[in-house]
Amino acid sequence: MSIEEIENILLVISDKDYDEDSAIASFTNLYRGYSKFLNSVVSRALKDRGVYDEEILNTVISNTFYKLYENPLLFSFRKEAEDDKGFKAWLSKVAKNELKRLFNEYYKDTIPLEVLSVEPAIESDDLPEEIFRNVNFKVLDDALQILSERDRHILLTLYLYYEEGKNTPSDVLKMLCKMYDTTSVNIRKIKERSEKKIVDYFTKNTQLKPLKYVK
Amino acid sequence: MSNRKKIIDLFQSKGLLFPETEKEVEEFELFNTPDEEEPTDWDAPEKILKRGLQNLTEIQTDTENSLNNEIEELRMVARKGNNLPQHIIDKMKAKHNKDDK
Repeated sequence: MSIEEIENILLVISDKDYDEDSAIASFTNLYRGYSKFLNSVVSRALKDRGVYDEEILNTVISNTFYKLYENPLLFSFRKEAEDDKGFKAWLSKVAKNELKRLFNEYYKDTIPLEVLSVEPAIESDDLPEEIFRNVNFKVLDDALQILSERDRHILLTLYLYYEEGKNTPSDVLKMLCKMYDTTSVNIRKIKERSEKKIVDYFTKNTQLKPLKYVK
Repeated sequence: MSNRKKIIDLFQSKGLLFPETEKEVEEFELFNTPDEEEPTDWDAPEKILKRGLQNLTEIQTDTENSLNNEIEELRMVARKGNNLPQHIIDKMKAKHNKDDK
């Protein structure tokens, strides 16, 4: 859809108290325009975390669109926007927050919270920025594939909750312990081990040209 | 910047985590073709509005799914009075060996 089409649709939805039929018709258009995109984002994210099931996928998508209908003017395009990618990014962000909310809600009654110690940093030397700049999608994807399925799921779930300068929330660790029937100490070990494997893989599989050969 | 932050930024920039910027959406769409399958509410999206916000009633992980499949296989074997399939016997032996250590 074009930027103008999306903006018009959001405006019509925001007027739902005065013209509900038009709002629902516009909502239907928007859903048909973007639900397949959101479906592929969420199903990929869920599969990567080993918790793919239809109920979660459908609930995240349904709640994301419901929230959009309730507050359509929360989103606006930036002035320089050229296409609808900003809208897709926003939908994806709402879906991510919704997934986290649903997980927290689901596990809050089943997992007792406790204070957890500070996470140790990755036990490896900092790699040069160039190595990370030279990692392409294939190397990244291959690096993930060298991890066991369980370790990959755990790592990507932890990354879902990553916030710079903050520890992983204790309820997330508890949630993973329950999902994988293990301890929080093991979860941390798995994370450190997996990150070390990824860093090693990058180092081995990223070609850096020595400066003397660079023209 | 720590290696962890660099790894996460890299995953994010290639669209492997939820894409949150236009650039990340572009990367995501390069490597992920949109689902052709129609989402559940495709025929009647207004049902979403009638339902309102939903909560999860059950979460099944891949591990649980595969465990459930194995249990179901064992149930079928027991019902039919057949011998256990070799891959299940191997798995049980491996589990016993691991537990003995």
